[in-house]
Amino acid sequence: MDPSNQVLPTKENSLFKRILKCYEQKQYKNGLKFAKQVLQNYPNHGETQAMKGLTLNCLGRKEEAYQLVRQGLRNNLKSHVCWHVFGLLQRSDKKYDEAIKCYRNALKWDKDNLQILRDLSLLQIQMRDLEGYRETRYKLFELRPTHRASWIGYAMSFHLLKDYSSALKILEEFRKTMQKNTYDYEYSELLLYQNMVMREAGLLEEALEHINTYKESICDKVTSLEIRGELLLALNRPTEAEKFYRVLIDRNHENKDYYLKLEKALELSTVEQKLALYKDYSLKFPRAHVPRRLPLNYATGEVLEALLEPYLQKCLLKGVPPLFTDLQSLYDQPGKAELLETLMYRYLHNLETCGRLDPSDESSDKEPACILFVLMYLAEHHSHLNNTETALKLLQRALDHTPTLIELYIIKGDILKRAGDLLGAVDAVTEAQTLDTADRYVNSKTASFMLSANLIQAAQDMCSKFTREGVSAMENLNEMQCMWFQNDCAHAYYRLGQYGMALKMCHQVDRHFTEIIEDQFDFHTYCMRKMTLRSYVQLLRLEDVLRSNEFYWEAAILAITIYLRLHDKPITDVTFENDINTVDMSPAELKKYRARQRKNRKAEERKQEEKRKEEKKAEQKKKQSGQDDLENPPQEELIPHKLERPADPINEALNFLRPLQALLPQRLHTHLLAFSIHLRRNKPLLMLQSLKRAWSVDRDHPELHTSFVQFLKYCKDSLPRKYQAPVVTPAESATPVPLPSNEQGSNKPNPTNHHHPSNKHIKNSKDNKNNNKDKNQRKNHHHNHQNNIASNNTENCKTDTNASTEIIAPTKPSINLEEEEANFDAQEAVVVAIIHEVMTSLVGTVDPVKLNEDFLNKNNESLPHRLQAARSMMFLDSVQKQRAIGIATEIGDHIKGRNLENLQTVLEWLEGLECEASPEEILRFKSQSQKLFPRAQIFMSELPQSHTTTVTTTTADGAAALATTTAVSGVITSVAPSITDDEITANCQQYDEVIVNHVNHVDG
Amino acid sequence: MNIRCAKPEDLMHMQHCNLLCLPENYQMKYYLYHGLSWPQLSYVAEDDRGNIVGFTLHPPLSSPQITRAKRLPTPPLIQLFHHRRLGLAQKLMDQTAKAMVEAFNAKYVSLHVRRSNRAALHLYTNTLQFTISDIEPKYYADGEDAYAMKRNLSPETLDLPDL
Amino acid sequence: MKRGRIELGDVTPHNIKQLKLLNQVVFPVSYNDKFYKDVLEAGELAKLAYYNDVVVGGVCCRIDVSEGQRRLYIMTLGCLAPYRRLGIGTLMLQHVLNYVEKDANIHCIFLHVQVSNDGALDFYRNFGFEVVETKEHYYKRIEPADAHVLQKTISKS
Repeated sequence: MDPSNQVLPTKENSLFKRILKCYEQKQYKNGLKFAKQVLQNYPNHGETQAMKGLTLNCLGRKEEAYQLVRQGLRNNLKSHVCWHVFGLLQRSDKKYDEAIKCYRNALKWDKDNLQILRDLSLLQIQMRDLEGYRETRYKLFELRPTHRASWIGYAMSFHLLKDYSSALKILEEFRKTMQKNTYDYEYSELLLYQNMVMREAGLLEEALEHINTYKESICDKVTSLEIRGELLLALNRPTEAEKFYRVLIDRNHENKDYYLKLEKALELSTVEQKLALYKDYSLKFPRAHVPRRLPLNYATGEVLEALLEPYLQKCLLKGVPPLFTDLQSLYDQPGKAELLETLMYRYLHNLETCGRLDPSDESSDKEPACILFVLMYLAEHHSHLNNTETALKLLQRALDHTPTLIELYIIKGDILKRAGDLLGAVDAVTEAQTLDTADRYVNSKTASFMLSANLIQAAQDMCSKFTREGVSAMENLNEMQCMWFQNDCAHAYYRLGQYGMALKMCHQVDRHFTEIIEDQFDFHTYCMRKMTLRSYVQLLRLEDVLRSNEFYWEAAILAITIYLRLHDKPITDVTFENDINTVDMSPAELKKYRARQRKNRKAEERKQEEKRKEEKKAEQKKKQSGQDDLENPPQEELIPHKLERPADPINEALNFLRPLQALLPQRLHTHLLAFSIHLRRNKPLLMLQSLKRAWSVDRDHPELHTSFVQFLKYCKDSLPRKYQAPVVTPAESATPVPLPSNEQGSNKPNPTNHHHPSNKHIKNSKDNKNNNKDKNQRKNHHHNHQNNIASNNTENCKTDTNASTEIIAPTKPSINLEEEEANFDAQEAVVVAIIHEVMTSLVGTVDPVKLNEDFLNKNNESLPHRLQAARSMMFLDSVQKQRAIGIATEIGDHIKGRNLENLQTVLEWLEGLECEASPEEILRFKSQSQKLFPRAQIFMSELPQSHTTTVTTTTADGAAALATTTAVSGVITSVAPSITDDEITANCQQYDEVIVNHVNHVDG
Repeated sequence: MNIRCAKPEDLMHMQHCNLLCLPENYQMKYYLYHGLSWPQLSYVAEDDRGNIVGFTLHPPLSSPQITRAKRLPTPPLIQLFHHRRLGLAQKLMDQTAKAMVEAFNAKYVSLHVRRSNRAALHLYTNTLQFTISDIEPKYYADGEDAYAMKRNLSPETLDLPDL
Repeated sequence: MKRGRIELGDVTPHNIKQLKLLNQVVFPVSYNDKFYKDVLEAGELAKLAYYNDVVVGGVCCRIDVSEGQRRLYIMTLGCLAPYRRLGIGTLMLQHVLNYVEKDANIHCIFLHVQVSNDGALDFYRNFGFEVVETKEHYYKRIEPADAHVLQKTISKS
């Protein structure tokens, strides 16, 4: 590189400047033109090449872009422009770590370059490199002290690092410069942010004083009041807090939190006091809902009845469809469900006999729709209590009363779904959907029910009524990040055994989360400008825990389950042969046949590939003609065929697991799935860690028992000699015997560090971001134990490894015990002793057979426990299969927990890989279960061949309509009366008019 | 029922509800943009179990501060999901309107409604005191016309005492 | 105690099934697909009646050009049983009457009522309808098969 030809003469220099301007103004074609001119004379001018590359990137010509930028960089390694451009390129591909490196390099050559510093700061906050962020913001602050964003950014960098005092100092200085006396939203937001930092710093008194001082300038009055109320409560000044909450309630009668806080402010302790408070507010705000609903949570017995009656009557007379949903939480409290039932039946009786809720109330008019809502409520009530037939009867009465009330069909669908009649549920909601095709909620419900019945195509067709024209429903739903659909769909594909498609959906959901985390990028500058700093910080915190969202959980759990299964039983192409009877073929024929199949398959794949390429090209064309979409580089395509043949399913499963471990450690299944994964990786310590965590979440969960059994069996089988050796105290342990390699099956390449696990453990626990309390417990336990062992084993260990003295610093924080597993030789004795100790403390034994028998005996009346005992039995000794099946399938009346979900789980187990029960056994279980749940399709021996969702309308000839449904979905005892002319007339005898007209277009 | 100001954590649930119940949908970034630009103006209604059953998401178009927002598509002011007859719409509207006046000096609220949406029209005109200010042909993606509706906001909607 | 809100709404392709369902429940005769196809084109001549946002009634009319006159024919006008006697029928019939008022070329309204249907006969008489004819065996499948023709002449100034 010749430094001289990197400096341009004036003419070319001004051209170069114009390239920069064109880029800023998005005039890419012009920019290319100028670049061409410069490069004609100075073909190796690095910076021009880089800029040209950057411009090309904006036009979607990514490969050329990279080539050029790299070239430009090679030509001028000392150019901050080149490095900066390279960084921008990496950033556009979301390679943030690389981009940060480039920016840092750029800064080496131009350390005060504002643009680069700003870009760097954005990346740092995006990647949560908080220390780096603060450094950079300091530089920016130094360079541009008059710039508003410099102050805020700098202050915020301290705030995020929890250095509150520094943050506050800066904020206060800045505030002074912004002080105004007129209405200013931005100043108001700054004050609120400042206050937020104070509160987080624990400076409650100061925060209170602060907000009192500046309250006039705060535009967001509601927040101002809320903060003051909370501070006063936190500072133990409840009487002063009272007036704030009263004002807030005046402003918003329906905010539950205000009332609850007011209870605190008034220091109400007894139920009577609370009820009195709500009575006051009910009178003060007669139209408010919350003050009448909250006391229902507190009151009991007669008091509750006295409160419930007016509440219920008002809702019933008005006609409030979600009444049941509103009261549902009361069902968890003892006695309230019964009371509600009593009241509702009383109302029903009154309405049937005299047409009023309260027979003594002669004055008011009768409300014709009242009985409808009573029936609706009772139907939902009985469904909740699993009285399916009663619920359906009541619902049918409601339908007979007002067949045009669409909510009724949805409730019917819900009732049937709960009873396991998935196809019947689909029918019900489909009917609702045809009645109002403009209602997307009903449409979504219908699609969702279709998916639970595995009618995937029908569901897609249903959704397509609301998705964009010209694209497939699946594509549009993916574009709009419609995760409920994708999760439900994934589960349907899974049930149908189409793992590739199911995984595709799971990955799509995962990508949405990645996208949403990406989305925050623009807001780093935006929020600084708008000064909505509180929301901004809340956003950062939200994004940090984004994958704790329920949608991610469901997708991840399913994905992990599928990957584990694919690991256990990979899809081989030999399975294609199941279609044709290959038994009778000779070896030569078989070979030819297989070759032919392979050829056909390859041809098919090529065709698919072509098709996909065409579609992609069309997409690209559309995109390019549209915008310079820097934001979304094309992602690797999700091809179901490939997804279900993963090269490393365990690794894929781990990818889904990690966020769960970090963000949802309080859920049992996080750890149970972690255990399952580690089991297949032959990592006993990691297995043990998962079990310990699971135990601390829910030690009595039946599934945990099975994991324990699996673990103990694994130890018995895989750590044979050591394990079966009599458990000795550490002092007596003999010299360690070289271990059989337990690296088989382990997918991770073992790092070659040799180090003492306990030391590493301790060091790791400080660095590891994934620290949680349980780990510390374990660490301590480990540590103590290890010290005992170590002191006695040092002699032994020393000869084998330099473990005890050599401590390798951890490089990147990762799953703690990863590297520990690397070298097992000397540590195995130690490990075995640990396992023995921990397991004994958790479950009292290390003998899996004994553990299982005890478990079964202790819980022999609970179906879920029996199932797990049966599963464990199968794991331990498949010879026990019959006994296991017998245990799991016993569902006599003395067995508890015989709900639909549990029975389904047993059936899945019987049919699945773990058990593979015979068809007779499965049939037997199904028919037994069917007695308990006659409507559930899953227990029917023959499913309807082709289910057509026919719309069954309630016609004048009611019986005929219902007969159609019966034929399709199996067992339905039709109970609805048909509506005849006589009945219409009979009903109308109460009323004086019958308005019936007849017409010319009579059919036939 | 519970009506309160929305937080960033609610935004994903709002998107979910919108996808479930309405034909006009937006990507998450749009919700972030609203929630982070005018945090005071997003109110949510929750049912007894804490699920979001309605929300408002609307830029204060009439605020002197807002310029860019005019270019964006505006979502319907209130989005209710089969939780009828509870007066949620009015309550959400009230709270949002008050916030609009207080925090942004807004003078009026405006939005669009599908011409065929009888229930919504009734809600806005009768219950929420909007008036039809204009008819915009083919406003929606599927070609349907829209009623442009408007409601003036008076400072009297505020009733907070000086505390 | 406040009674529910009653109002009329348009029939659209989105909600036409509700009208169909309503008619199936209320009337002992059924109407074919062509009927409903025509209803969608009928504009103000077809309306749904709502009670608290739930469809409980409906009216379908058409213009009948015969006997040298332009007349309005009421094909169906009905309401779910529990919601009668609330003024819904009146509201619907009033809507029809208003329509006819505005149209200068319609001279009368008529409809058929089964001879046994005293309630309906009284209702229409209250609005000034009179029996002008009785058609025997008008209905094919129900008893009695005879129908009165009720008519109301609209005076135009």
